[in-house]
Amino acid sequence: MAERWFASRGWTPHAFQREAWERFARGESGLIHVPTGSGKTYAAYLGALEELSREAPDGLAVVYVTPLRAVARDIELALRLPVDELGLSVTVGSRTGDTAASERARQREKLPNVLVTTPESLTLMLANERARELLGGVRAVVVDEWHELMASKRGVQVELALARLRAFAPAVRVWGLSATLCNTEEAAQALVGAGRAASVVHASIPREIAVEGLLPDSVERFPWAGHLGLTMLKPLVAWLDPAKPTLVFTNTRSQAERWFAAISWEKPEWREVLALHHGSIEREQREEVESGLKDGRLRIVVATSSLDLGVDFSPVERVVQVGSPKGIARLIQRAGRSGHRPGARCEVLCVPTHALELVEIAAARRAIQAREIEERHGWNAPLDCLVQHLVTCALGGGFAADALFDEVRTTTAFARLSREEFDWCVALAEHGGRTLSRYPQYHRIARGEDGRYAIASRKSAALHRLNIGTIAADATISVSLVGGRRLGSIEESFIARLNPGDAFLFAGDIVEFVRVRDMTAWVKRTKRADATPRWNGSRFPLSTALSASVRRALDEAGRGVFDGPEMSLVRPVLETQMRLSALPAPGETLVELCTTADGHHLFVYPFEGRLVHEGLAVLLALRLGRARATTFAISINDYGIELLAPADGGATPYPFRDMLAPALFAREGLACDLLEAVNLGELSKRQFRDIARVAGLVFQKYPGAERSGRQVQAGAGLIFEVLREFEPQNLLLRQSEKEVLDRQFEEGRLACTLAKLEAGPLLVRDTPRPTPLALPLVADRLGTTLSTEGVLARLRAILGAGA
Amino acid sequence: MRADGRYPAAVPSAAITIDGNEMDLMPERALFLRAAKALVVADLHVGKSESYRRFGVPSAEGIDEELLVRLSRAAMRAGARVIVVVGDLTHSAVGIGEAEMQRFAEFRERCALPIRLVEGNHDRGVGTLPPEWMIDRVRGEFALGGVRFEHEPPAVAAAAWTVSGHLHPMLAVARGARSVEAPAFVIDHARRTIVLPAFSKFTRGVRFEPSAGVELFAIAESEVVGPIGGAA
Repeated sequence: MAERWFASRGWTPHAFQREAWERFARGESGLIHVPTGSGKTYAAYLGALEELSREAPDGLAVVYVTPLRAVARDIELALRLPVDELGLSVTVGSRTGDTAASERARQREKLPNVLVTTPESLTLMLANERARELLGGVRAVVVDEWHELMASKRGVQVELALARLRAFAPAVRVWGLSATLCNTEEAAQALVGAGRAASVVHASIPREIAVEGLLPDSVERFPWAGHLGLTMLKPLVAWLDPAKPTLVFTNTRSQAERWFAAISWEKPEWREVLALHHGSIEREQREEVESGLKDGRLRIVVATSSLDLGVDFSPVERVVQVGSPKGIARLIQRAGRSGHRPGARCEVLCVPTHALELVEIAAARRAIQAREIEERHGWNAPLDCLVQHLVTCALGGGFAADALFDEVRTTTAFARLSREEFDWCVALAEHGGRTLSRYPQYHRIARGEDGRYAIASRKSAALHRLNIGTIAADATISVSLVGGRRLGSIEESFIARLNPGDAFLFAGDIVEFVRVRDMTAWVKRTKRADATPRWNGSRFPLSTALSASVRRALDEAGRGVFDGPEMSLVRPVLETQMRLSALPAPGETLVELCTTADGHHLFVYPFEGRLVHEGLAVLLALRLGRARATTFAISINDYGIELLAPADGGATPYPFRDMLAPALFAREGLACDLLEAVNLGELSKRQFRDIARVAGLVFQKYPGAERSGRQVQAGAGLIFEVLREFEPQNLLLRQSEKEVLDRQFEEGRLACTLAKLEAGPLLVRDTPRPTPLALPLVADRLGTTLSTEGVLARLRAILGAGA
Repeated sequence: MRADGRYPAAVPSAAITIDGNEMDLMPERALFLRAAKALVVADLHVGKSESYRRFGVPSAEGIDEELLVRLSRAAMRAGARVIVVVGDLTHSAVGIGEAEMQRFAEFRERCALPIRLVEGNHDRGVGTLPPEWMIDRVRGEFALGGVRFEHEPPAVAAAAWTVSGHLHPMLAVARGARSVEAPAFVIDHARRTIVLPAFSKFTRGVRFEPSAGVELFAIAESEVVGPIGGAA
């Protein structure tokens, strides 16, 4: 049937598509790993449809999971196409958060045979009392964009849902679709479950990726620091062409705002065809941009990672990357948005914003040619997801603890879950655990006389259904014009730093902050030019693969080899670096010491990305500070860290050099020390906010109310304090610590970095002034501090210095 | 005022004299008027954690417990004859459940001193308090030993010095990389007002930076540090 349909459209199936159909027919499950835009949807789907065309199905038979509800409709149309053209008696529908109530009601009567849905809506179906009956006939599940999902808690949610589906329908086949990924076996295993046979279908379609750099004439007047740098604005505007639909990717929202504003300023005549897209912009407005791109009304869109996914259906011809590409897989994926035809060559134009990014462009090109791509890993036993799943299962027909424990352990995420941990989670869902047991709202599930757990009350059921999901919600508040419309939402922490009268760029407008009231930041339009967008959203770290490639390029430069146009251009900067200090060879770590009017600086350059560096910086600050108490100002970027000790009268420099012993970098006590430093920084408290929400300790939505105000926002923070004081062994607390270590600091990568530093050699240089590598750190200091002095000592130092 | 000329003296309690009235600023977040033997506190917000729970936000046992133990200890340490609460003894009506009633009754068994409460905005919302709490409740203001007590700091100076609460003042200072936020007593000479730090530790507050005419005494690690600022 699949062959016949392809032939009727004049298409020839690729080898990987045929392979996927055959494997499906043989009853296998696994992963289809092919470049974006190569026809993987039909590879996964037509095998299942073939079966449905032979045996008329009753009820739901194929579930297609997409992480993006915005594209659910497009996918539905794509899945319907062969059904209509071949005249099959198969029904196709979709069900997401956007599905109309009338359509939902119809689906309640009878689900379509093929259903496009999101992880959240799939879980909601599992929370239906008739879940077993509704889902028992499912033969195939297709999970799209698995490479994106698997590294998030939504991926864990999908794994748990798949385990449930396998229990309902033991013969179900699961196929994931993934773009560029290095560890395909691991990704496939997560889909099919621990210990089960997983197939991987690779496409052999070569997709050539060309990385071009938009280069300045000379590096002389090119900035050495900063990441908003608009130096290349004019050359970029000259290159852009509304006749060719183009995506301009940036790394941060503030960068997107800045470049959008600058391009609009240069080319007011592009007003109708130029748009901005990032995660803080109102959803409706974002969707308008997406559809504008699709139907060709919009020709140039400046975007953040908000558009990394889901423009598969748009006729994008060119892709621009502003600033560091950060990672190889990400750059390949972004490049893949252009030239959306199988086999077509894709191109990405990289625009450097400061001198060292020239090195990154050269390094990225080389890594892509050598196919050095990052691995992606799933989560290990996040208990908040499990607690949520327990309540979902209690709602969806109830569960017996023994059976569900075995079922949950068939997922790779929970394969090593202990019975104690499982029982702890059941207790938390049953009565709130030790600390919260007195409160009826935490008695969410109850054990019946038959030993099975079911939902405890209708209220718990309603609250749970409203709050299903694991998408991390930033604490955001609305931004609205005074007496006018809502512009979007923004991180609370950004607003908290503003004073009334401060101006910032938002959604392409310059606005002046007026006040915060009713969970809304009220702003008015202004024409002032001193606006600074500073909020952080989505700052990716330099990936391991790219970092390794950058180090190789620098090493070559240190030996006088400058390969390619970017390296030739950046040569004077690197030569200055060598004159003032050095360029490290592989295995070596460069350390620079310097005294300025600001105080005494220590610079360390491991080139391991900002997450590792953040961990390293607080760790070193803590350990140095223990030996000799002070308060450090900390600065980090993708290349290294800076610790600045206050001059305190300028007497003797802080004795960094004497303290750079291997013991300073010992891995022993890493977790403890980090947590001590991290607790000071309150990072785990922030992490806990999401955990508490996923585990259902705080709710974002109540029936009839989006949120019950600031009290709930403050709620998770309060629970955190309380648990830390009264129940420090609480597993969710420990999870938040673990997540901070793993995800915030990439603990494993940090441990490797420490090992490298401990083993040495350190290349220690005293420099007369900050070097080209140091300048970005000095320029970008973020106001993070770490103090090993107590409140009293700090207060005295502040007051004493003022006397 | 500075003991060693470099930074302000830090002693367990700071003794000050205002208008000839000797008083101690205690690290327990209380003010002691020596002549009247009155322990003055503000903003206890008893039942706040419970009211959070009623709104779906869990919080621990033990917050009110610690608060009431600290209160009876401070009264004992100072040798107080009367406790004056300058407003917001309680947080909200929903926050006073059976457990809170029981806990306060236990506190009253330990500490039977007369308690005079100047109503705060939160107390008004709570309404009548249980008689067994033995609270002598005053609306508006009252005076004792030459000092006025009023929940919200007066906008203009009254004839006598006023002791207030309501603002939950926090000292906020920073220099270079160092920064500190700590609960503080505010002594405002222009308005002739002393604003007490919130007695409850589960509060946020109004940040005060040192300024002319306003002296701050911060509580850091069980010590009272000050005066900070104040020189005209």
